[in-house]
Amino acid sequence: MITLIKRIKAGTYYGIVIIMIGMLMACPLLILPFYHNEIKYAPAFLLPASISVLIGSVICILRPYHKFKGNRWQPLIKEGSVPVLFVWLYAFFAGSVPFIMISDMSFTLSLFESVSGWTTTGLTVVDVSKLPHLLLLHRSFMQYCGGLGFVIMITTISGNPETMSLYNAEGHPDQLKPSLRGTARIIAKLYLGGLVLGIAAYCIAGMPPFEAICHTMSALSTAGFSTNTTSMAAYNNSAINIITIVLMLVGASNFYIVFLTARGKIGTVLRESEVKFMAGLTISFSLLAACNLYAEGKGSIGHCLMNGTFGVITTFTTTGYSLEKYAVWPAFSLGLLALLMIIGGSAGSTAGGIKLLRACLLLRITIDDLKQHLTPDRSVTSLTYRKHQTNLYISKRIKENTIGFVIVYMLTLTAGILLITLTSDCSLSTAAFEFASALGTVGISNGLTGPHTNPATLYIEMFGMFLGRLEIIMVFVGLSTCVNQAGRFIFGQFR
Amino acid sequence: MSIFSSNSKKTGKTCTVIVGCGRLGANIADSLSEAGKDVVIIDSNSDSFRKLSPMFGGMKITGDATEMLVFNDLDMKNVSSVIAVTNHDNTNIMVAQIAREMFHIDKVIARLYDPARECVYRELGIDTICPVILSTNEVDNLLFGGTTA
Repeated sequence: MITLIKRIKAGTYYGIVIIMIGMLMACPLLILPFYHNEIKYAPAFLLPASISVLIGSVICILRPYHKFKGNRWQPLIKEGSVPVLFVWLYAFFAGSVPFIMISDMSFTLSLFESVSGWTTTGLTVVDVSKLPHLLLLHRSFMQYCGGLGFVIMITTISGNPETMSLYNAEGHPDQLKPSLRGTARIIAKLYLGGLVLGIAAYCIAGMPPFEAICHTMSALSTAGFSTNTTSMAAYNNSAINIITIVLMLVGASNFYIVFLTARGKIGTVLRESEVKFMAGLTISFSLLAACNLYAEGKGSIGHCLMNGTFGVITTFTTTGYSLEKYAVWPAFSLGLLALLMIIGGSAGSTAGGIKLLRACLLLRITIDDLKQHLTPDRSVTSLTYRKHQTNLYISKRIKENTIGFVIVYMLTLTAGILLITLTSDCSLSTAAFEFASALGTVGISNGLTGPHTNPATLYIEMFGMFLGRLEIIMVFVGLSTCVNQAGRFIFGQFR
Repeated sequence: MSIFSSNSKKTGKTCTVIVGCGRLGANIADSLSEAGKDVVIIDSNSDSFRKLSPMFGGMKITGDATEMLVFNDLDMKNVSSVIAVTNHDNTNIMVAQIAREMFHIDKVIARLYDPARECVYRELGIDTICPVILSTNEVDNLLFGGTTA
């Protein structure tokens, strides 16, 4: 038995992660002691869980991990991208099984719900009031795990140094500790700590424990599945709103920043460019939205301020909870939200979008470019930004990376929007809002996504969410590597 | 906070700090990282980190290690050894001295190019590696190894 476990531990990442996904699938069953009458649904979780563990073990035993040989100097992201892509795709399918088995949903709808869960989007096509508790927890738990990312979870258990390539490929740029395993453990601890504190705070504020667990998981992973059809509006409780705002902000902050904050280094945190930008953006956009809401006569000043702030924060953290139907918001505020969706949270957090740091850099670069027209030709400027407690010079390479990423993001966004207008009969602005929401893994819907949506639209949105969670470039690198390898496999050595 | 130090309590001091990411520094860092050790590597030029293997899982810090500011970010209580391998003997001496005097690191190793400076290190109780002496010995060995041994 011990040799078997050793054998499995020495297996490839594919195997280990599949085993882990299987175990995660079984986690929602832990609430069965509290909801006896839902025991009939247990097989829907046990089946995919046990099959995953079985498949994973077989892969591990058949294909033990072998040290990477080959060219060491090829770009890191290329090596890690294929396993990461594969693992996420597997998780999508595994996560959809309980929906198919319990509720009579079609395969497309189940898959959509699963993708929306793992990618921490929060667009939903089910009627949550009819789902059993097990499935509700399953949805939130998927988001919680998806927010952390599979590679971090696997790194906390098996500290193989070559996990580094996967770690980078999944979009975690930060190193908090001198070893990868240490970093992953700290991140996992912070994330678990946030969960415990969040649940406690929600319970104190008067939310039932089950809903508190689900909402904390969703808020912390900036995902936004709710257990109520009306999302957070069902509570109508400012304390709960404020707790949600705090949890979302924590979720959307870089883990490095959360780590420093937890250590009490508030002063250092406030000097980071990203934090400054985030604060400025939140405050200005919240005020703008609140003023706009008030001017349109949507309630008292306090009400508008709360709704505006909540809306702004829930959007730019890419969470997607709502206090009221966003469809009733004036166009100006909706525009603000759409802009925030595109910007998104900070890199290395659970959020999606272009990422705050890139947006901040883009702004700096653009302003600098404009300034160059006003200053003498020979004037010299040096742009810096502050990250990880050091002032960094914005080099040409960083500029190219930033602008390149933003352009790729925008092109993807445009392509997606146009495809949605083709597949579903809706206006351009509706399609734009919906796809921006999917690509940024936000999950605010203006009513386009639902159980009766055209499957083609749903698949486009799913692809958008996937791109958004794993950073577009990574997915493209992974796909092109796959195609390359498949080509080599099929055509053999003839080339 | 207690959750952050639990790691060090269990295993004692585990971390190695390497100053200077040249060929030697990068190689040491890679092999330590591959063995699953905690490694921090410091260099004043962020381009130097290209020499590290892509699998390097440790922490990279850009900064001048002769300035105390760089060490503020590090949990120096957790550091078991400091290795100074920049391409300047004087920098290496300085870094080694900071590590020994300010942070009381148990194991301090420095590389020095000029064998004449070894006495400075010996007084400070710092282990040295001198490529010149090592190479001299090795050449001697190759030349006369068979006969004198």
